[in-house]
Amino acid sequence: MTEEALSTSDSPRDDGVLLSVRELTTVIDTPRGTVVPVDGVSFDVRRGETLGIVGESGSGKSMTALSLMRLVRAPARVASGQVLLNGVDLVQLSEAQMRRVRGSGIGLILQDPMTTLNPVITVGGQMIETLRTHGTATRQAQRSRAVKLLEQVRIPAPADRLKAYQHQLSGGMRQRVAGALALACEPSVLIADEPTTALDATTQIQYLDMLRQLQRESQLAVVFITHDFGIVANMCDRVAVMYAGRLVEVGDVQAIFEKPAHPYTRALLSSVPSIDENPERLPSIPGQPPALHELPVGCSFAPRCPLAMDKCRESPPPTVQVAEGHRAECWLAS
Amino acid sequence: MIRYVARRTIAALATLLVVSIVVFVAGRLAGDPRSHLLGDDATPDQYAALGQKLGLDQPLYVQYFKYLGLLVRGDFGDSISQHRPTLELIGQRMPATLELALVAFLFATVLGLALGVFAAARRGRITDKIIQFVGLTGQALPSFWLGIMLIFLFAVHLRWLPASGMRHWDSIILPAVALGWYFLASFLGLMRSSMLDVLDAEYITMAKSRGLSPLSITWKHAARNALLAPLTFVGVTLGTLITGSLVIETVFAWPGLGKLSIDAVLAADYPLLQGCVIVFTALYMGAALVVDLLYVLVDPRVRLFDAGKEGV
Amino acid sequence: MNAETPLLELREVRRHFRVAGRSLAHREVRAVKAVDGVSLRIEHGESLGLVGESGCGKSTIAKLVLGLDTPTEGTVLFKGRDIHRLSGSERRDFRRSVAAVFQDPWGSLNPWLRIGQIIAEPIKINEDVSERERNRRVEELLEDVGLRRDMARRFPHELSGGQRQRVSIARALALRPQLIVLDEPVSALDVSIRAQVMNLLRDLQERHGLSYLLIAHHLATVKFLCKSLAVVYLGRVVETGNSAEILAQPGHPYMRALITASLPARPGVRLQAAGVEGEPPSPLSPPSGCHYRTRCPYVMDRCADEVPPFHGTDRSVRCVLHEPAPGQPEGPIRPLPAPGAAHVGGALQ
Repeated sequence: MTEEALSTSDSPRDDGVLLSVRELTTVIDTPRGTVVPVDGVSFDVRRGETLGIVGESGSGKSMTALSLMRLVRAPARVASGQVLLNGVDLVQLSEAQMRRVRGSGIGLILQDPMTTLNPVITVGGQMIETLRTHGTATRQAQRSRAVKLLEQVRIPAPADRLKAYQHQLSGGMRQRVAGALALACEPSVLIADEPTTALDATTQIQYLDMLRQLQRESQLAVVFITHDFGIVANMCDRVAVMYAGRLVEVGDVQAIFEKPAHPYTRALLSSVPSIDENPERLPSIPGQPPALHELPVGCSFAPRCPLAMDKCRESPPPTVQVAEGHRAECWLAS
Repeated sequence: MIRYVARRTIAALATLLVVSIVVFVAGRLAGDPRSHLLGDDATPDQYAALGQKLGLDQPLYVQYFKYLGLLVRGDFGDSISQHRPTLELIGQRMPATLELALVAFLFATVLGLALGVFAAARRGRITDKIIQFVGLTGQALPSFWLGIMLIFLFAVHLRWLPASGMRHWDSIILPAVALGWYFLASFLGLMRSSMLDVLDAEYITMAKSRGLSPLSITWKHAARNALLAPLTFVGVTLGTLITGSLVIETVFAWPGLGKLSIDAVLAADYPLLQGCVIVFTALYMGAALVVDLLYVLVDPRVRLFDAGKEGV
Repeated sequence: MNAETPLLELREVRRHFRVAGRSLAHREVRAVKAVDGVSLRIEHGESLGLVGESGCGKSTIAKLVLGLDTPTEGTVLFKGRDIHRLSGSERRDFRRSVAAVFQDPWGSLNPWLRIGQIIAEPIKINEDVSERERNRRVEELLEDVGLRRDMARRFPHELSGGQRQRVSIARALALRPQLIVLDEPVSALDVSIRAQVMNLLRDLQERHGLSYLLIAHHLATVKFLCKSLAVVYLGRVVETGNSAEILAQPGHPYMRALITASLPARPGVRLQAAGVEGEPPSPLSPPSGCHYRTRCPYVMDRCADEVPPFHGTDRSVRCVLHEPAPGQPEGPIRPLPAPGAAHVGGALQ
């Protein structure tokens, strides 16, 4: 691969798609057999757009995030598929080439503010090293850029904070620093895996507000992984619903909420109580999400689906184009 | 910080006091120096006379308080078997022990910790298994056997290193290795398992996600955090090395405090024995304190929290 | 004990934790006032939700209610009796009547015991019944929480998170308590399981006439299970009353912020962080007067000077905005204006 071809920040496609994932599959080789937490996942994200990936535990959403950055650790491995970042397939790159993409092409924010920063290195230290790795040459430039980044994520007294260690910061501030680190080298895509799940509601809303602003300013493409439909409704432009390793429904946020095509999506949406309602009982989904090493034949959701037919239990459902930009994997979708 | 050091010093002095009592009593129980000095055919009168001269005819607690009084004035008494001031003898032999302990310490910590990092970074691969095996030998093989084998291989067979004594600059290598091997294995194991925990942490994944170099991730981001766990044993290790060199000093004829103490026990030489034990204790605690203070430098969290929190 | 006595009452309860100062020169003894003058009531058969963010003191309140901690000041009364002044048999009675379910389904069950043993444990300790009777009760409890009887032989690690929480609930029901303290019982569960467990909790509430003290950060959960609600901020209750009413029309600015921050699952309502500002202050040095004033969009000068008293007749709100006009009696709570709108120096007109 030539240097030119590696540069992932120039000439995006005309339709604005920065990240294009095609049939991405990640497997884990366990003693009990091969488990497929990411099974033929495909989606596109455009510049300035936020794609939400919604799923519960065991759905494979976190594995997807790691797979996009090729950070899965043995015994897991990316088995097949493409991850096209500005046209360059990240799956085909060598490790050294991929290292250059990490941070400068794609950034990552994870869930737990308690452990997301290194406890024995100062905030400034971690920022400066990241900047130096991806090309900011002089100490001066690194330092001033670090301060600017902390300002962007709305950390008060940013110059002083460079000397701070992570335990001197609150949970919300730590997540902001994590955000600054992820965006330090101006990647075009940001993957956020439940970044606010461990934060208080008021801290969360401020954080999301900041993230939205950053996105607007730099036209970032964001992949936002969450289980919270409230966040999805308020942050995302498009939604992908993940179940047992597969994307069972993908569409615009409006479509997903108003006309969900997949029974799982529908059931999930109706089981979330809202403050304005006063139900006697909450609609719920019987059973629990399947264990990945014991997936049923046919549709993985069939055992819990109120509309399951024999066909569903026998063969895996096809992908149905429900409407423009809206697809679902269900025998009943139309 | 000052309060911490003061607290530790006071605790050390209290320990020394208790040790002095214990060793005083134990030494008296171990034997009577008069039998060594006078031989089998001594008369009861000669026995009694010598006893009076040495102050052994007085009640135990009187002997002890006399001793304590002299001790705090820095007078450790004269060695019964070697007829010279105890402190002088100890002073003569202490450098050798300290030297040996220090070299063994550096060998065990630096190499042990580094190997632990390596093994963890190459987890599951051949390098890891080899290093782990090395660690196993360290914990399984008795140090005196190891010492003898090292002599056999390197001194007798290959003639690369001297077999005993302290004459050449490289005389210290074999005894230091034999002495430190066990601790090398300990640090290796501790560091490896600590590294494995750290490598699973979210901040390591985050560091990787920013494209940082693997070398930086292993040594700067991971190892510094993993260091905190084995570091708690470093203080104890240095102390143990200083006070535990008896066997190695004997095997290698290394003229240190260990050998001196054994001789003192065998001769029931109370003053010398007491002096050795007290000096050993002081060295042990001093070493532990110094290293614990260094710990504060390494972990920023310890530095900043001085006093603890108490519930009402 | 008469019919008016609440099942559980906290009267001006305070819980202070001493924290030693760092300076060598003057060793200040500062206190974290985790619970700072809290008064609450739970009536028989009714449930109270405790809402607040991390560090507000709600977990400490839970411990105080369970008798796991002793208040620095104030009293905790169960059926009118101070729980720290009970005789031996009264204390046993108390322990039987109040149970707990905690947040973490993985940490709350002993991995070495079978499910049956876990549920039977409280019965074994507190009641003198035969093993057969105990087993019968365990089976009944399992059915009660929607688990199959044969689950009794399994170990916790064989169960999913949702099933484990059901076991915790069964264990809590073992001695037929009157009050159950639930500390975030569903937050660690998957979304699709949450509804199941919430339905179960509601059913049990009706079937057994249980009272809950529910600690949750998800407002809709609280509304679903609790008729009353208390909002806690930095150790103080700032609003109490009927949950549906409070959620429909919050009286305290903090409650308003919490409602804004709980994003509705409805697209098209774009994120607005309006009215939610600032960082939570440190519990070691809370702001003087009203704790919330550093983040309150309606703040006035007098908010720093005094701790606001409770106002309102239909519910209680600890905010000067609801002070009745001079000379007027207390009245029902009026709606808050939008932040930034002009408000006349004090009361809402």
